[in-house]
Amino acid sequence: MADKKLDKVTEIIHLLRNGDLEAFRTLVDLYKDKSLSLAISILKNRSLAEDVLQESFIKAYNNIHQFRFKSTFATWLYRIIVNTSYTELKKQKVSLDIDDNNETRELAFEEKHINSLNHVDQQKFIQMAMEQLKADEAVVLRLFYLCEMSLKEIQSITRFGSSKIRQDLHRGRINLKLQLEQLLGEEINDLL
Amino acid sequence: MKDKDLKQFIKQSEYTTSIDFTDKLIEKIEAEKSKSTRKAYWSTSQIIVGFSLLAMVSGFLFHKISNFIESDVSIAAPFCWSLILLFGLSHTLTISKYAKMNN
Repeated sequence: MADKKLDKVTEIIHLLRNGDLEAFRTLVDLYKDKSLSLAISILKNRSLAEDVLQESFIKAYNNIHQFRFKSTFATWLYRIIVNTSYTELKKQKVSLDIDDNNETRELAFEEKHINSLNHVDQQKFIQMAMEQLKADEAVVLRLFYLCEMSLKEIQSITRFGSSKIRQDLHRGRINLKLQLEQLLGEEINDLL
Repeated sequence: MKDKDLKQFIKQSEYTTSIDFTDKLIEKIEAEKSKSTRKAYWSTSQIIVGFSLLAMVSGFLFHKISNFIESDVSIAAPFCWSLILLFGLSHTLTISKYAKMNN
């Protein structure tokens, strides 16, 4: 399955190099959701993350001829997204989207019984817990578990040292668990 | 918490982009493409090389002509003339290319 996807991506890249913009649309649709999750891990703001993601995809499109198949396309793309997100983070003070946070905080206050939560609300709790983590921890956790990157690939994407990555993974796991327990209490076990 | 449980949570935390995300992105790229085709036809290095060659030829011709008509010609004249000619050529070619694109 993974090989088939890789072949498809390779084929799309060759089409893209010949100027096929529709091929790029297909490529974007394959990676946009995970990419947005990575950008939000760093920026903690959805609308800003979408803007940065647009900018990152445009960079990828303009520099597609520089992709030499030495790594996977995902590694190359995520590197652009992570770098662009950190650059944006440095440029401005990013505040959490207040409206979104108010909604989820109310949810946490009133709807703590996990069995009454639908899938969308569960997702919101988990997203909220993830966004309480530090940027480095959140991005490393998502690269490892969501994007299924190896430690070496994460090192290539983030330019973090291997010990920092292990540390962020370890602390991220602990802090995520703490955040979920804070939000959901013992009912976290009902999610499993 | 087991690793597989953690993985499940983090996979559930995946965001989805807005519905028109890809459409907006493609529109931006198309807009950028149409802007970039209006840039100058020649690059800076091409202009420098062209100017140097033309200046050498012009200098030689002016020197010969000034010897022939026995008049005092400024040494800067061939260089100024070459520069003006080169930029004029570059501008003409840019306009020509842009006109072809619009037809």
